[in-house]
Amino acid sequence: MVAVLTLEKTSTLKVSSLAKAYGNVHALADLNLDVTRGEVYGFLGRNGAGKSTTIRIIMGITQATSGSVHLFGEKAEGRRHVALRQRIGYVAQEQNFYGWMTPKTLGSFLRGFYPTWDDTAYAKLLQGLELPERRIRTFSGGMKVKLALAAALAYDPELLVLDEPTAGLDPVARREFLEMVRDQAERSSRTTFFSTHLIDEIELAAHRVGIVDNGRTRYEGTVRDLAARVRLLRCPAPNGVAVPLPERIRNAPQRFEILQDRHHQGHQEVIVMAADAADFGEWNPGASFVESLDGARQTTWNLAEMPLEEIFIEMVRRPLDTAL
Amino acid sequence: MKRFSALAVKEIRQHGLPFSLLLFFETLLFGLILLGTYTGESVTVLEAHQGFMIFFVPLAAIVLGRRLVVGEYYARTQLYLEGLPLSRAEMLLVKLILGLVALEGIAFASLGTSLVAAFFRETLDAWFVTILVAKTAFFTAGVWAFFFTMGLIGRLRVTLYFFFFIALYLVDEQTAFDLEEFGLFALVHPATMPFERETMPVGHLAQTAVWTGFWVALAFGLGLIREGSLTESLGRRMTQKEKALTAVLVIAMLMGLAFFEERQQREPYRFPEEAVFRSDEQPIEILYLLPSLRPAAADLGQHLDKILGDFANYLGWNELPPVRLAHRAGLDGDRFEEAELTEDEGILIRLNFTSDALDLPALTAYLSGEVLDAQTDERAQFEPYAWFRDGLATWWGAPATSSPDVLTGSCSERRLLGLWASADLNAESIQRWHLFRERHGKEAANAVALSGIEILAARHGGDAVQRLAQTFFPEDVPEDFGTTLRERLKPMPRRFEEAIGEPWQDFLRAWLDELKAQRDSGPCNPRLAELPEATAGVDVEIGDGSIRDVVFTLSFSEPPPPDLAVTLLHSRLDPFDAELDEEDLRRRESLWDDGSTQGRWRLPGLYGRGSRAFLALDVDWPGLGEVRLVAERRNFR
Repeated sequence: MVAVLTLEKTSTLKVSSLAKAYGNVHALADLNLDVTRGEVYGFLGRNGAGKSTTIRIIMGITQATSGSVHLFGEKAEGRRHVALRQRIGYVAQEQNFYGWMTPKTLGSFLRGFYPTWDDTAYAKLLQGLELPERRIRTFSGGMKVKLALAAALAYDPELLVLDEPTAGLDPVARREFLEMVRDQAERSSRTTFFSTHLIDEIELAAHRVGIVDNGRTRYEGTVRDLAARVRLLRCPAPNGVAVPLPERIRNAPQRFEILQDRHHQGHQEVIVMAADAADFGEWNPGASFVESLDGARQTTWNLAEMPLEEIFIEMVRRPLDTAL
Repeated sequence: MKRFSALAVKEIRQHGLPFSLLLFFETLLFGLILLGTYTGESVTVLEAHQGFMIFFVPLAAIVLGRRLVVGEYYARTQLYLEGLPLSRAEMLLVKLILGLVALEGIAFASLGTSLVAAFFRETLDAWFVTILVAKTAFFTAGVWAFFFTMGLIGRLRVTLYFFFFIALYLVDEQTAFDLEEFGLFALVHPATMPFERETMPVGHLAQTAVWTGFWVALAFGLGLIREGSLTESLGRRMTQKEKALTAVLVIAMLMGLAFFEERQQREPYRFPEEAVFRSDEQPIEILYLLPSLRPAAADLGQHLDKILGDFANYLGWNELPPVRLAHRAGLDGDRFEEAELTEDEGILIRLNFTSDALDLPALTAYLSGEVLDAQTDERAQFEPYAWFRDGLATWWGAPATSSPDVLTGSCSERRLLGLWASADLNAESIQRWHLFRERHGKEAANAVALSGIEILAARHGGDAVQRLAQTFFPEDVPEDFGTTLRERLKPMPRRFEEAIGEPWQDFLRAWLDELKAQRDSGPCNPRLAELPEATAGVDVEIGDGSIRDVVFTLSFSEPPPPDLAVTLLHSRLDPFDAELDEEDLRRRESLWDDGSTQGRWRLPGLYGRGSRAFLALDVDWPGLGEVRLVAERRNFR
């Protein structure tokens, strides 16, 4: 008898069937996320997709209309939710520091809120981030984001939540910030959840990605898996004549989702997303196959891999319910 | 708790300095007010605390609300706090409590300082201090609850301040609701706060507690509704368009109020066209109603036209305020009833001018005093001047007694009365003339005041009296803060010296010496010596439950003359009345038992526990007139 050891990944953050409505406006509808311990999770979505609303609900700043948030294995609600913030490092999208404070006075202020606050670690972070001891109102946007990160890390939180932290930063500062996020994640077992609308940030820093569109989860998994599950199929289609989808896709509609089906420069282009990369079988990028159209005619489909950015664009720019 | 204290410390660091500066200036001003009340003419030093509560506590509350609440939302730093392990309710709670502690701190500092100052000058007891503590604490909480909530209204709060101000004004003016008698307004009412020593204002405290609870509940409702988004949006700075709209709204409200005020101004009081005698020269009208009374009205009108016209000339006035007299057949000839008119409408008196007992000099003196009050918007009744007002009016009504030869003149009934009552006259009783008048009765006080005018005329001539009258009672007295300020800067003694050329204290000493000399060796001395010693008292006896009886006692060293009329006077009082109107006193008259030396009278069950009344006993002594033997303001415990 062989003993099978199953290493179950623990969930640091689990969002289930989350919905949020502001009157008739539904910011979130059936959002599901599962962030496991120690990973860097990129939360990707267009502007207005519901990223900030989701994060505010995760932080307990905003209440969900329905659904639930579990943090560190326990349901986050009411006063307990507020208390759980002591275990979360939070960097908001907009830095609303008290301008009269200096980094040091900010540390004195925050010390009272976090039992695990470490003055030495904070001082090291300030030094490492080259933040001067002067009034915060004199800081640039990038310096404020760095300060927010230093303040969020100084009490060694189990979960770091970053709400589009690089918005407004120049490319260099953005790159530096993301590298810091990735470094601190690698050096600790801390879980990092950050939202962005920029694909390259996901590619640079995230282990896994959750894509949100119109308040719903469109995808959740690794970046590599996402790339493997999407193919661009291209065949000649002169005079705009419609070419039927390949037989494999037609025969298994539940396994394939058509993200795009269009005529483009004398060709028919189909972007298809499989439920699993294995569903594509031998349809590897660069390969091609021939399909009979009506018995007399044939067409050749060429297969190509899609850049992550293109995949994201195709995923979020079409109506959600459009399927095969 | 640590996070609460962290937030509290942050607030103190952020707002401590500006608030300390405000406190510094408030302390300076409070010190000046306290000094003024301590050394000045205030009845109690605690008036300084009452003034502080009315003006400085709300001012500090506005500043605190602006900094603790409005500033947080303006700067959007509440968004930062929202990300910390602190709920919105906790954030509001910390700010509410911190502000309350700060305000209660300064309010109680004011109370404590005032009490210490009062301790050296006044009688304090634990119950009175408890009442003051309760009023101070509740009022401060009520004020802070309001301004804290207004802080959460953000950019609309100033508009709402105007709205509330106008709404409260209209409610107070146009309805039976008396704002000054409601809740926190009543707690700091100037007539009660520094003076009410007996009754804990439970009703007003309860109203204030409800008021405070309402605003606090509203504050938390506003702060938490829609997850704070309402307050957040209200907390943003005004756009230019909103500023313009607010300015238009405020101007519209003020214009509306002005228009409303204008419409509310009713037509001046007028007698009907018929059955009225109108004087040719002076604004004097006499309503006689029955044609048969016209000759008497005309006689009186012509008399008053002359004597009051002369009075106006004497004072240097261009014209008299309107004087209206209405006939009332049922009144005694020596009773004059004043009807209430709005300001600038002059005076309206009901009297029985066809009575055989009509005392023309008394009527002239009475009308002269009323004319002085009306023309000066009651400033003639201001206590440093009130003795001169009474004396001048009496003098004008009875010029025969104005002989400068005060020492050798005959001993008239009035002079005798004045000398009899002047035994306890001193600088303080002149400063508190209303109390002196209350203690001795109107006639006796008038007689004493008249002696002052006579002695002034004897020392400096009749012109000096006129100069002083014109100085004290000019025709046009602006009714503004400037007049009050000028009065403070140049009080009565300085005005006296400027007009007369003699220091007030010197004159006062001469006046008192003269009266003493007259009592000791003047023409009235023998008659004063004939008067028996009288001992009068008033006591409250506890009956069943809350019933209280008032018992008057009077004894003489020898039996008084037969048929001596004894009058018991009483009147319910508000917690503090600056001046008692003799006409409002209820009277019970009885005759002394001939041959007896002791008398005792009981007023059963008229006043219950917790009430307050003025109680006095007068006797109509032959040859002396009506003299007051005892007068007290009494609390019924």
